[in-house]
Amino acid sequence: MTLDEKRDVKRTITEIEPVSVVERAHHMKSAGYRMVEMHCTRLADATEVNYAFDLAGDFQVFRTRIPDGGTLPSVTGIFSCAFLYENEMQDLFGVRVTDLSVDYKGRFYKLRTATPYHPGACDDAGTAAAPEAAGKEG
Amino acid sequence: MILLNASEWTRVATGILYVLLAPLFGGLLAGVDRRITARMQGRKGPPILQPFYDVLKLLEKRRVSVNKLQNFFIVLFLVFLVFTGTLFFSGGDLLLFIFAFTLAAIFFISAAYAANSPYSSIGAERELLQMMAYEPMVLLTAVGFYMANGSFKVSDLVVAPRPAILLIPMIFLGFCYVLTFKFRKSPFDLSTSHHGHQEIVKGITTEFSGASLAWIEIAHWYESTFLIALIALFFVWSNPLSIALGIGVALLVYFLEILVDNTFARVKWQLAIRSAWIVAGVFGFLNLLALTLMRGGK
Amino acid sequence: MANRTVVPFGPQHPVLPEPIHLDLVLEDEKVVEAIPSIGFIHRGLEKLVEKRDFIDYVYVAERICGICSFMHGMGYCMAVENVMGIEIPRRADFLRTTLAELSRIHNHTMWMGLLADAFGFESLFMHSWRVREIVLDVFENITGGRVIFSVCKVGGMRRDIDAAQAEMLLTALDRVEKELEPLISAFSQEYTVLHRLTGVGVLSKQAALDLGALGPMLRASGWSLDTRKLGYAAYNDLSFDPIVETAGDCMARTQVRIRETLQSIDLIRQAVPKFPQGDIAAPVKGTPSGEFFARLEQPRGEAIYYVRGNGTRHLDRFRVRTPTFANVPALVQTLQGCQLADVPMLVLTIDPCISCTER
Repeated sequence: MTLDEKRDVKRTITEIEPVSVVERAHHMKSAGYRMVEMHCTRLADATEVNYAFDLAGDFQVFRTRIPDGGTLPSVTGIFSCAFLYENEMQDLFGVRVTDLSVDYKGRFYKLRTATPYHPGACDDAGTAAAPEAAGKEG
Repeated sequence: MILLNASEWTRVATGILYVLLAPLFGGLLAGVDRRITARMQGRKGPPILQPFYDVLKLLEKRRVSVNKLQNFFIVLFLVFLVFTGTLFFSGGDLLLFIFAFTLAAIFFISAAYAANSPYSSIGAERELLQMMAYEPMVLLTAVGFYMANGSFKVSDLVVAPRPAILLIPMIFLGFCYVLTFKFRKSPFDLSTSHHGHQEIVKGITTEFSGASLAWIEIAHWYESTFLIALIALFFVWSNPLSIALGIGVALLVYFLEILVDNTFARVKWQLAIRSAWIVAGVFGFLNLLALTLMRGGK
Repeated sequence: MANRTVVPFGPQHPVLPEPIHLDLVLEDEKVVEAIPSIGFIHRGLEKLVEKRDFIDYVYVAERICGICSFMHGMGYCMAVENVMGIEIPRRADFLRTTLAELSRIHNHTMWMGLLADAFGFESLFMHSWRVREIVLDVFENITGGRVIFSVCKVGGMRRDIDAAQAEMLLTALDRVEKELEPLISAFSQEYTVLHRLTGVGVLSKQAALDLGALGPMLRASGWSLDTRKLGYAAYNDLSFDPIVETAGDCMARTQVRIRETLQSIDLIRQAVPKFPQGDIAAPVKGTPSGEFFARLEQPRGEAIYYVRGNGTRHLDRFRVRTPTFANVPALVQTLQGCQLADVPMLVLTIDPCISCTER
């Protein structure tokens, strides 16, 4: 029993499949929810992606798992502000996001090491992270 | 050896005195300005002599410039400003004075364009817009002096039978309004200001450093000296004591400029031009119209 | 065809002390495109949680940002406390609320000064910061620190506010309120200020929501959303309504922040007499296991603190989503089509804190 349950603040976490992410985002958008945030957590052999939405205090989190080497469909077509979070995922976790509206191609964060939360993610995936850009900034 | 009569000797002497003393006066004025501004903002402020320390330090610093041409333009800017002021103090023609002044400003703007940086280019563009804004009023001022006392020559105006202010009070007010542009004070410090802008840094002066920047400072001292003198000219007539009166009023106007600087935000150029032209139109033309009617009635 | 220039705005911009970079594509003085980039000083503080003891990490969390330092510590503590099922003493909740609201006053008065500086009103800038100084003195008296106080800890608070300090706090608030008066009239009535703020950078109600804008940015566009209404800490016991404006322009955002400053003064005045007696910290036993999303309203908007523990003293994941990060899309939207002279105003009205953004 957490304190927030005592105060009757709702927080629900639902697990979904990567393929249904876009559909779910559409659903939340039409229900009037606003996008609160997206973030990743690194698991042993996969990356967990969380989408958080809110409508008048009803906090809904959708969670999906991207196995290493997998891709994630972008929700920027529905929530345009998601481009920041999705670029962050690409740069820090090496998650490959498809159909990103504004793709910084690994230059969103100027990092010394690519994808610090998941070292080596871009080597096997062969994606965008750009060490030469990072080198110049450093 | 050219023979000069006494009044001509006086004119040469005041011209030379101007060249020698104007930086001193302008620098002190800038120092007092900074002190008063600081007090208005609840700060203690720098020493009165701080502008001189700044310039001396700038002169010792290495000059970094993108384009050699910009330093050349700055030298011309300084030379022409000194020339402009000398014209005024040696009793020259007011119209020539105004056009020499504009020419000096154009050299300053060319220097900023030569630097080829987005900040100074936009600053230079804004400076041009500012010139568009204040020039009509400045020209009307010259015309006003002529209509009031029948001469464009400063040497004649200082011995006029009555002070110009009695005949062209509205032009005086309009002129004070556009002075805010020339002194680079809020709300009309669009192209550069004493502290940085957020969008264009120091605007027109962004790309100058070391001795070039020191020259710009010194040029501004010359400039503020003859602007003060120009305000004083409104109050001067054949009575020699009136010069003291004129300088007193001019310093009061300067104080009001500082007050205005501290009570207004910077406006955008559209409003700056519009308001300056409205002021020129209303104050300038009405005053000239009134003068013409008075003359016609005689 | 107008002349196109690219003005680089930041990160080493001499007058913008924040490392955000905007490429402003100009046609004369009109901005036709703005491309943001951040990440110049990314510090990896979220990653650091894997190396630090979860109790010690509060100090790191507080250093995410200097201005909302207290609230970052508080958000992290709230998340960890919820994961561990610690119920902190009510007095600690009230102390946290008081310091959080003081931080809001600190932030908003500082912001007013920065805004005044952005439109070239130097004396207003100086006077706004003078008001902020009063709040900093209060902080110093109560916590011993002026910017980063480290008084929040997992389980409660480190320092109490005694009766004399509460008295001093209320007197200081009276002074703040009195000194704010002329500033507020300058911000709301002065002709040139109105000229620079009214109708500039309008964000429609729908766009504000779609772009994920937060805090004063969202409330200025007509949304009555304030995370404090969820009733964390002591907000359940205080009466207040979110400050809402409808115009959505820079003026509305300024007004929201000004009224919030006054609201914060009111909230502290409500809270201080209600301080319950008792301890200021609960004992902390064991290690966190589980996950939690904590949310709180920072001066700049809602912040999210996500914590996942694995039963050891090192957390698996700590994630903080700061308000500035979420406000960037709205900023980019308002920048398009504005005048170059409006850019500082627009950047300022999201109250950018890049230190927060670059956790």
